Amino acid sequence: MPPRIPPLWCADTLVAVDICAAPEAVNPSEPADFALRNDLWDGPAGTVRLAGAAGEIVDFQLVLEKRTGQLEAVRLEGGGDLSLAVLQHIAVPVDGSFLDDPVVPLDPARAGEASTEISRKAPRFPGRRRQCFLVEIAIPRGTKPGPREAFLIVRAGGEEMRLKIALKVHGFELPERATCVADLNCYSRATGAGYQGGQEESERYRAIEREHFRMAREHLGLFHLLPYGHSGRIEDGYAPKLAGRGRSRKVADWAPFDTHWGGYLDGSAFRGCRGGEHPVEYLYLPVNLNWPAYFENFGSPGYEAEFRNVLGEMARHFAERGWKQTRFEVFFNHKTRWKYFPWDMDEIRFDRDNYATALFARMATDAVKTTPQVKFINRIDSSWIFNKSARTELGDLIQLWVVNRSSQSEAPDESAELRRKGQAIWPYGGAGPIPAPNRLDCLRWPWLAWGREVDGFVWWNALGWGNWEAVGRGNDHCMYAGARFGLSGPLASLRLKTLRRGMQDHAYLTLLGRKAGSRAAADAVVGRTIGSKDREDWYQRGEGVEAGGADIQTTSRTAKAWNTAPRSAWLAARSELARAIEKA
Amino acid sequence: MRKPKINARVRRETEERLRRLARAASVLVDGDAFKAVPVDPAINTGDDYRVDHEKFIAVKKTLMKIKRLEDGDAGIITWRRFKDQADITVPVDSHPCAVRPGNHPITPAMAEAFEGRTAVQELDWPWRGCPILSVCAPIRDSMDDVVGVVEVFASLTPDRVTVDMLRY
Repeated sequence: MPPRIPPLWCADTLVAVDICAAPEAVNPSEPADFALRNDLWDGPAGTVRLAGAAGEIVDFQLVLEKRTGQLEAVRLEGGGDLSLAVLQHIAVPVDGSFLDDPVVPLDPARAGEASTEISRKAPRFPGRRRQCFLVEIAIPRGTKPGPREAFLIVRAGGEEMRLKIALKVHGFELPERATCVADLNCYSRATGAGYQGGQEESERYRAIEREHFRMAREHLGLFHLLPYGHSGRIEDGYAPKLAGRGRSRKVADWAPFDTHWGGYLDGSAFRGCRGGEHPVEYLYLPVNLNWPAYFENFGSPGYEAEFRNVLGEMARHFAERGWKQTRFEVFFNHKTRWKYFPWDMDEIRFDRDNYATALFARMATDAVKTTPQVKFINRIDSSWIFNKSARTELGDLIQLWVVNRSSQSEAPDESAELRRKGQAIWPYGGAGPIPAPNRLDCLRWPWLAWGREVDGFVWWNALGWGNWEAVGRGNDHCMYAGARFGLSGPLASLRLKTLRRGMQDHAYLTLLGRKAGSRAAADAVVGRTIGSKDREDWYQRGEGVEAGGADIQTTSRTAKAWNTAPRSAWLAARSELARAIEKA
Repeated sequence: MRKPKINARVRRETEERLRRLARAASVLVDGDAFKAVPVDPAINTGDDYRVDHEKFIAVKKTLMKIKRLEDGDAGIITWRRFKDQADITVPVDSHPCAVRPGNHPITPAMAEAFEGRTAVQELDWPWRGCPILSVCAPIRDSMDDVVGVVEVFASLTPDRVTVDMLRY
């Protein structure tokens, strides 16, 4: 007989709890008594065990069985300066089922009322057996190491339940800034994912967009908006106004650009934001094959004059404004299949197209060379022929290589060579699927970046083009429009929460490396727990992995340990890393 | 969304302007270059789609210059026959028909143009809330064979929405 499931229980956020399954099957990949006791939850004792460092957010899922009744109140007692946030999971339609992914913040002081309201506005479906909430506890900077005890008081269905939070605070502090770049790449407008209205440039739109940037920063990510379309069309307000043609082509008005991007470039848009108030680390420029130079002059002196003049002006303007921390990307997202331009300059398939990328990289580098205090970089998105391209002149011309994860996985030598030259590499792929027994696919990205010794990674389409009724499988939809719940900004997803956790893990790995003076100590821990012993183990040399391109969003099927290790191995790795940092 | 009212004068002037542009395009686009744009005419999208760089650039530059012959809103794209449909080959501006994959049913106006005549059609662009007037004209090669169609189009409510978004 299966164990009777408690009215309220807790679980690791990495576990996807089935909200409609029978009690003994809340997650088929976990033991049948998972709801009674698991790696962080001792049901009989009513205790949740957590561990984290100062500056970290630790989280878990609070699960209310349907028979328990509606959440009425929740608060943290005895936590001192620990701060509590509670978010209600919302289920979205995926593959014919309803699965939790977006989370809506609840005001703990009026949790019951707020939860009822959220449930009323959420997508409806039959067969729900339980409601999950994400509980986040922020450990402030300066918190003394050692055991802490607090109580989470949950009132539901007229009864009050008292959960003990046994928190171990590690003997180190996490840095405020992300230790690698978690790039949440998006296109066009931040309102793409199901917002109604607000598409035009306006103070209202900018406010919504700013919430996206802030949400990414809060989760240790970088919101990254490509400001132009395949045709070269630029969103209203994303570029300065230009005037003239040929040698007289110049910026006529900086106001639209400065108004739109200035807050991100001086950091003021992040005021009060967890993750820091610093400027964005990277920003796409509106530069494309038809801006600032008109493509009708391509190949003529006038085209080059238009391109060089305006890029030079941009560099000088950025220097005057003091925007010297951000890396400004010159990137051409054009593809032959989109028909507007003749070359693949994104996910280049054929060698013969590389000359266009090289030509423009040379031109851009030359245009801004008199303003070295501003960081202009050439970026490429590479896949099919990354291994070959990295060994051409592009290896010297391109400072940021965004590379399909699978293509990069077979090219450890080329990756090392680029890094030796000082170039940055970010593997890219999807955010991880919603229908999965766990969220390891999201957690692994920062680990993979560390393992492969690269500088970051990209979730290629963080907002997607779907909406609440058509989320897809989730690979490209890690923030949701909050308007449905009366919020102007976006909602986070459980996958974004998992990303933050992975980024905090990356900080552990980085800290240990810094303290130990090399990655050997971290390699030893990871080898013992996850099974990947060194950098080479994180690559897939010679596996013949699925080639990457625009039409293939690959998820590696490799048998490498990092791709097959169970959830328990990642938990063990984190604990051991913490101990190793404390000892180092 | 409620359909916007179309001003009769705007409609007439737009058609006259588009006809002039289509006529110019029909004469100036090099049909021999145009028909050789796709490296493999059997492929029209996807990873293996390739174009002849020089010929593509020549056609694209011509189309962009033609747009500048007239003031006012205008977009321009070209079509070639692809199986029993028409495929967008060298677009300059966004069009209600998606460029990827670029093959779409042949409209009556396009069919006329593939037969060597100029024809007018009205299109809806629901996503942008914009009724469009479009003129299709033949592209001929040096043998005088029709090898494609040039389509010039414009918003019929240009005070609200325009199709030309490349005039920076």
